[in-house]
Amino acid sequence: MNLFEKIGWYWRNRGIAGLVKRVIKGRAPSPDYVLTGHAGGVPTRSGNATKASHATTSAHLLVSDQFPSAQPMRVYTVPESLARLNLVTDSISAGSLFGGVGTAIILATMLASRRGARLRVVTRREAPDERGFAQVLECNGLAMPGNVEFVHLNVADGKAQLDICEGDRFLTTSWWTTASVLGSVPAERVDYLLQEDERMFYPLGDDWLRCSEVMQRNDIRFIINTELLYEHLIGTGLEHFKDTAKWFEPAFPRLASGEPTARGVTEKRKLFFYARPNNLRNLFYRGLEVLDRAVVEGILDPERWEVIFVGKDVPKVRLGGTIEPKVLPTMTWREYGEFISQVNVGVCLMCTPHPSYPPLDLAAAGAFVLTNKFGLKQSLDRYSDRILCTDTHVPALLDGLRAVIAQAENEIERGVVDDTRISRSWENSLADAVEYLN
Amino acid sequence: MFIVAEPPHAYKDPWAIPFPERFRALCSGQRRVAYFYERPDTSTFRYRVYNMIQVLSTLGKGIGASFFGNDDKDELDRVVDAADVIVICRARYNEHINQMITRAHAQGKKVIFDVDDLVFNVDYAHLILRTLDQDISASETWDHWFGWIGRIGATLRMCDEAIATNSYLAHRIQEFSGVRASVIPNFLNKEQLAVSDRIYKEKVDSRFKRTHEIHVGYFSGTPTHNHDFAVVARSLARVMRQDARVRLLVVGFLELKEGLEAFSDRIEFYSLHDFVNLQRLMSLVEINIVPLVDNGFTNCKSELKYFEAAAVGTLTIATPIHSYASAIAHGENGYLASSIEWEECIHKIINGMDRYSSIAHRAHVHSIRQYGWFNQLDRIEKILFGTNEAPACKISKSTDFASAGGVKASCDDLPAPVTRSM
Repeated sequence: MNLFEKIGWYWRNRGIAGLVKRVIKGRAPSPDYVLTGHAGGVPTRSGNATKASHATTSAHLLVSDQFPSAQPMRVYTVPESLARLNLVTDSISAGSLFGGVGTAIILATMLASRRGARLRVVTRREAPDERGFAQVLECNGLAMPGNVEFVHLNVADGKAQLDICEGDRFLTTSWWTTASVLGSVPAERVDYLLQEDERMFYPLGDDWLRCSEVMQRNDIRFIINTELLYEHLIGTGLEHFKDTAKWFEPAFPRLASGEPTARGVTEKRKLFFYARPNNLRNLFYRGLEVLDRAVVEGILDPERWEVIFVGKDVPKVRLGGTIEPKVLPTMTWREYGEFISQVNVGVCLMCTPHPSYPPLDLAAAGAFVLTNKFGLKQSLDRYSDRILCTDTHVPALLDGLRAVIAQAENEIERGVVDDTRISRSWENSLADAVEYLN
Repeated sequence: MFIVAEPPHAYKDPWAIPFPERFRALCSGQRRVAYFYERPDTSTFRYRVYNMIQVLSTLGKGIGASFFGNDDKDELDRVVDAADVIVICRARYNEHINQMITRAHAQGKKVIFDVDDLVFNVDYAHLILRTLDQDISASETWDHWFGWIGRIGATLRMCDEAIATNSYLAHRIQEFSGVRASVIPNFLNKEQLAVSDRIYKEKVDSRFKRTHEIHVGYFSGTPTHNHDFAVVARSLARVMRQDARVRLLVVGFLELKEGLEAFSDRIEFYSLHDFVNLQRLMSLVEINIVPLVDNGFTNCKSELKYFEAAAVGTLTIATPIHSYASAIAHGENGYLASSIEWEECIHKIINGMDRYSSIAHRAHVHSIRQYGWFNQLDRIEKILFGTNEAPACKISKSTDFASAGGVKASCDDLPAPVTRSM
C-alpha cells in the first residue's frame, strides 16, 4: 500500500478526523510490534473500500437499505443478571403516544412490575420524550415502575448499540421492530404486541411479504389488541395464533377520558372528525364528502354545530360553503382527554377489522360516534350503544350521522347517561395478557 | 446563590512527601499497613489511600500507615518486609506488583486489593466504554482499555482479600475473582471537614442567606460524563426556560445540548478545583445534581457527591443508583430523581426554600456522622488487621526473603515517628 492508498484508506475508514489524528500522532505501537518487532497487519481493501471501488452496489446492501428499520438491532452483551423488559418502539414523543404506543407503554409497565423487572424504553426513530411516557402512566392511574431507562437506538446511527444481558426480554410493537429484535435475540425472549393487521399497511409486495413472514412466526408470543382483531387474524391465515396469541380489550380509565359530563347545553355542539389524509385507512376523503353533504342537506346546522378536525397534515377546507372546521394540532395526552370530554359527536372512519381507539375514546368520554363496518366489525355494541357502525357508502354514513346527532341532541335535553360497557381498568383488561407473558 | 465569605485557599498537595519520610511513617507503629497506589492523585488516591492513612495515623493506636507507588519501585522489597498488611489500590499489574505480592505471600502477609470502580473485569469493558462515551471505532481505544482493565483485574486476582466502596461493587469483585470483599465507604477527610464546618456554620448563622439567583451545580464536567449529564439536560433546560433565576454552575467542561445551548449566558464554567476549594464552590449552589446513567458500571460508583455537598449545607438530587439510593432518604436529606423526575425535583427545591435549611441540616448531620473521617477507624482497623487491639512490641523473624536480614524492626528500632499529620 503506497502513501496515497494509505491516506485513502484512513480517510474512508476513520474519517477526516481520524486521518488528521493519524498524521499528528503517528502510529501507536501495536502489541504485534512490541512482541515481534514487526508492524501489525496492513489494512486490506474491504468493507467500504470494496464498496467505493465499484460502481455497482452489493445486493445485500441494497436490500438492507430498503428495510433499515427491520435490520438486526445492534447489540452487545454484558455479564449482568438483572431482569429487564425492553419496550422497543419507533417513538414515544408527544405525537406518537395516542392509541397503540400508549397501550404498549401501559402493558410494558404492568408487565415489568409483575416480573419485578426493570423497564427500558428503546426508541428506534425519535429520541425518547420521558415526559410523554410519564403522562401516559399518570393519565391511566399507573405508577412509574422504578427508574425507567430511556435509550435512543437510532436506526439511522450506524454506531448505536444496545447492551443486553441474560435477563433481558423484549416487547416489540410492529413487524419491523420485531424483525429487528429477532435478528439479534433468541425468539423465546421476544413478545410482539400486535394492534393492527399490519399486512394491510401495504400493497402486495416486498413490505407485505416481510410483514406477513413475521406475523407467521410461531416461535414468538403475540398479544393482540381486541378480540375482533384476533378473530380477524385467525380468519385470514394466521391460525397459529390460537396457540401463540392472547387478546385483550383496551381500558379507558376515567382519569384519561374524563367523566361523561353535560356538554353543548349553552354553547355550540362539537363534532370531532378524525382527519388523517395521509393515513389512508382513515378514509379522510370519504369522511369529508359525508360532512360536506351533511351541511348542505341541513343535517349539520352551522348555527348549532362546530366541526373540529383532529389529525395531521389537514388541509384547510370549507364544508357546504359555510362551515370552516377548526383544526387542532397535536395534543398531549391530558389535553386530548380534556378535549374529548367536550365533544358531542365523533366521526371516525377506519378501514380495519377492529374498533380502533378514537371511537372508544370518544364513547368512553360520553360522545356519540359514527364509524364504519369492515370485515368482522359489523357492530361495536359490545363496547357501547353510543357507537354506530354503518356501511361505508355515503347515504349510509349520512343516515348514521343523522342518527348520532339526534342521539346527542336528545342527551343534551335529558342529561348524560353512562351506558358504555368499556373497561375502565387496565389492571382488569390486561390481567390475562400479563399472566400469559409472565 | 448562597452568600459565603469563606475565601479561596492556597492549596498544596499534602501527599508530596519523600520516600524516607513515608517509610518512617510506616515503621512508626507496631501494626503496619503499606498502601500501594501507582502515583498520587486528587481522586481515587485521596479517598482510598490518603484518607485511610489519615484515620489510621491519627486515631489508631500503634499503627504505622503509609503509601508507596511506582516511583518507589526499588524500595518495595523493604516496604513489604516492614509491613504487616499490604493494600494495593486499583493498580495495574506489572513486574513490581507481582514481585511485591509474591514476596508478601512468602512472608505470610495479607495483601488486600482496594477499588472504587468496576474497572477490573474486561467483560464490562464494552459497557464502560459506551458509558464513558469513548471512541470505540478506534482499535487503539480497545487496546488501551482492555489492557488497563485487564491489568487491574490481574492484580486483584493475586490478592487475598478486597475492599470496595459499596456492597454492589463488593459483589462484582467476588463474582469476578472469588476474592472475599469487604466495604469501606469513601468519607470526608480532616481538611475537607475543617473548611466545611466553617462554611456550614456561616450558612446557618446567616440563615442560609442567598442572592435572588438559584444555582444548580454540576461538579463532574468531563467528556466521560456526557451520557450522565444527558439524563438531566432536557429537564434542566425546561426549568431554565420556566425560571429566569436559575443558573447552571459547571466545574469542568460540558457540551451544551438538549436545549441548554439557548442558555449559555446563564451557564458558568469553572476549572477543576482541588478538594478543599471544591467544598467552598459546592457550598455556593442551592442544588447539587448527580445524574447518572443507571447500569452495572455506574451502580458501582460511590455516593461522595452527596456527602461532600451535605457537609457544606447544599442539597443533592441524584439518580437512585445503589449508593445514592442507600445514602439519601428522598425528601429527608436530599432527593432521588428517576429518569423522569428531575424537573419535578428541581422545582421542589426551588419552591420549598422555606424547608431548605431543615433538610440541609439533616443531610449535614448524616454526612458528618456517617462519612466523617473520625468515625471510620473501627471498620478500617478490623478489615486490615482483623482486630482493633494493638499487639505487644516484638521482633519477628519473617522469612528468608526479607531483606536487611529478614527482620522486622521492633518498635525500639524505629526512627522517630513522623509528626506531620497526613
